[in-house]
Amino acid sequence: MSELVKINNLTRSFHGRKVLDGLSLSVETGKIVGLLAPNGTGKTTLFRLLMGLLTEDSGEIRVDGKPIGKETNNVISYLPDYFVFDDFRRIKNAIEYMKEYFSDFDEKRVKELLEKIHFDENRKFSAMSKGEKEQVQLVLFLSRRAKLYLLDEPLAAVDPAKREFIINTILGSFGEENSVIISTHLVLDIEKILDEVIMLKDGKVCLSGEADVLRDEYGKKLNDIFKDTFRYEEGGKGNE
Amino acid sequence: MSENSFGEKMMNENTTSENKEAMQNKIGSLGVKLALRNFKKYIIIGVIIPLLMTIPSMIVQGEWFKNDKAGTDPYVKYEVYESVPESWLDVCEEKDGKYVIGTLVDWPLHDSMEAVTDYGFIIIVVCLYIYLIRDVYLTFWGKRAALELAVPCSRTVIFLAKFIPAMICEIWTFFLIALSDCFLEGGFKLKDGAIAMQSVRSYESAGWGYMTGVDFIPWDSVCLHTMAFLVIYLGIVFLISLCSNLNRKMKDPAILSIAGLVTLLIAALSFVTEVAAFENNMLILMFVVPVILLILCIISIRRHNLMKA
Repeated sequence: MSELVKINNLTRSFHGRKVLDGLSLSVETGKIVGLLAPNGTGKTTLFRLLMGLLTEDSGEIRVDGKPIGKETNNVISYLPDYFVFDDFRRIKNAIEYMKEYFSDFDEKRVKELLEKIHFDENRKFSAMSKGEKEQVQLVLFLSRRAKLYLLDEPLAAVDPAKREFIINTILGSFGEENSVIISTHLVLDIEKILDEVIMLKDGKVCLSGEADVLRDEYGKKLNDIFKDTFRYEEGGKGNE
Repeated sequence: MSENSFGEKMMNENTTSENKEAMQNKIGSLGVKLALRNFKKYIIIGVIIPLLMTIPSMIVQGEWFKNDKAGTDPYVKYEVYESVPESWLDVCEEKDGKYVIGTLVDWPLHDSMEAVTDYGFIIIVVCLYIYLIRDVYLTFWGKRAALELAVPCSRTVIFLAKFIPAMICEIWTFFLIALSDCFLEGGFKLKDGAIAMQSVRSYESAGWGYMTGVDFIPWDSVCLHTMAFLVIYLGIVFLISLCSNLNRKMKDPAILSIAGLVTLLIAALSFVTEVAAFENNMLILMFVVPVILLILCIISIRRHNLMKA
């Protein structure tokens, strides 16, 4: 397995506050990685840095061995935590856009997935609920044959009944040649599919490792480890 | 064995350079695709509506062409032209030893046509400014950034693919505004059958006299409007880009102060170069500030940052 993402001593501030503070991590191909942290701890910032939507203060980021730029855009499919398409457009317009600008976009796959969830391509986004839009957006971004999928809170706006579909879609897009990084604080729903876990605290990695190893080591579910790790922080105490 | 691996290595290197070249070609064509897509997006508000807004001035121009019918059309009369025409563009005719000119007099729709054109173009220009600036903002700092900046193109190409169609639409609109002004204020007429011979005259023969046309399009006005657009468009892009870089270390009040100072500096420089351009009769001087801003925008957009972390 090769190293797909390599981050070294990454720092990014906002209004003088360090959102990421000397963060180092690596992700290998063929893994589903959970980036677990409470809100406001730098998960979205990290994804935006990987997409080049933000630039780092210091440190180094490499994806597929290359620095962030147009070449890395070719291998990353980024699902943001909000809806990016214009509301007055239809699903078919979004498909056309993806087809036109992303050479790895698999039109056949998107049509299959849309059929599964009974979405007509002619439907307008303005006539959909927030959850439906998020579902369509996820389907569109996962229909790229990318090497790295960055999914920012993919379950947040979706009701529990639809989460199963989303998890299955993620698994369907995943293979030995690519990796998925899922940022979420809804650990319970996602923990069964995670190979590795990275927990962020104070802009640094506070806990990381293979999901099974962590479960064995702590004798708990990942959800409970997550709760324990961040519950102390609320009380203003350390972990020890 | 070693030969094989050397051959394989060479093949890989060739393939890599071919891939690189293919990718660069693809990125180049993606840039053109993006520019065309943006142009298509702007075409209604930036090309078609301004063109429709010239209809009233065309109607006025149609009336002017009736000057040949002096005597039969109630609003077109021959008036004596006081000075002896000198310009090759002059369309005065000699009748009974006097120079006369056809003039549109008291045409009742003239004022309303002028008002429709003036207000119409003001609304179009304001809408166009808002639309174009909103579009570039949404792409680089707004909700569409995650989608549009994910395209495998450099930030410079993505920015130029927005800026060039926006500039074309603006220049087209300003050209049509100037053309409408001409059509509203005077008339074109062929002299001795030569197509190039056109004349622009005032309909109002009283007061300030006939405007014997020379430059039938006021290019200085087109240049001035274009300069204003470029300064505002590029200035806003540069300011947002600057603020998004400053917000790493600074708080909002400090950023706003710097943005305010930069705005004043841009406005002062624009004013100075505009005055210099008119005084020295060098319209090109007007574009010094826009060119500097364009370079600054390209540099700052390469190290692009969203406004929020």
